[in-house]
Amino acid sequence: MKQNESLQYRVEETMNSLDGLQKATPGPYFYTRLMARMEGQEKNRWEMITSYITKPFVITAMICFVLFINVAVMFRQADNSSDLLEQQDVTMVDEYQTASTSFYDYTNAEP
Amino acid sequence: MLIEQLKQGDQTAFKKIVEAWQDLVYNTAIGIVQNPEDAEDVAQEVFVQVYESIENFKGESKLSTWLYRITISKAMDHIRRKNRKKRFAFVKNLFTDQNEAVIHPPDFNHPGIILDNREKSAILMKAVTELPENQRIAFTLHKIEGLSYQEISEVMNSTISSVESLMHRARTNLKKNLENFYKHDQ
Repeated sequence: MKQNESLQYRVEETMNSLDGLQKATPGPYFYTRLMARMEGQEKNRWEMITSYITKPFVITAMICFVLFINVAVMFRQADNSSDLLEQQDVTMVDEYQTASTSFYDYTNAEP
Repeated sequence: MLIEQLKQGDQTAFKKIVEAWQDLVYNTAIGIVQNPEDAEDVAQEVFVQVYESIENFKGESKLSTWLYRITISKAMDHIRRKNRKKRFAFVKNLFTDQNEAVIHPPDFNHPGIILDNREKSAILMKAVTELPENQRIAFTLHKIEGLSYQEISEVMNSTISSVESLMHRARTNLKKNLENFYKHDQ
């Protein structure tokens, strides 16, 4: 019984041991250390980017991508130019009315 | 005002914010991670995030609430990372011949503790590490940072009654842990 009371007392004492606690503060020059870290991170970021970009497989992939884009643009332009030629023909026909060359079209225009 | 200046990239505003809030962030971090070096690391991570994501701060909550949230999130991430490393080291030790000694962290003494209470508070803080995450956060914010239940509920995005419940469960669990500790100690 007495032992239990003593145990409970110790537990309560421990539970209250944080009473009157003062707030912890970081060491001096915290802002300076923070800025150093942020600058370091910025440098690391650029180093990471450059080291990644200069990897051989990235360079190869980039070259392949540029070539693919080139080929795709070439095919697209070839398609477009044939469409354009057809369109130009139609425009010429409309412009000079080369399609309605028959005399009867004019004379028998109305019933 | 300072927030608006920081949003425009004003370094002086950032410095003022850091100097005004570094104690709050550090004290909260040290309460959770229980190690001065780790707390410094977490505090720095918090301010880096503040600098990078100040645009996301819409002013719907107080700046202190926002800072508490970031600090808790960073501190808990830090603990998880550390635990993961410990587990990995343990598993690695099982499968390799090298018998690296597993380093147990020393008892944590909060720098603001009264000298007479040092030993007891170290035992209490160790017991706190065994609490579930939410209970640990609520207990730390209340006991170390001295926040009211109302303020804790704002930080944890919950109701006052749920904070009361968390604190009640935290106390019950701590008492159980301490009883076990002292029984084995006798």
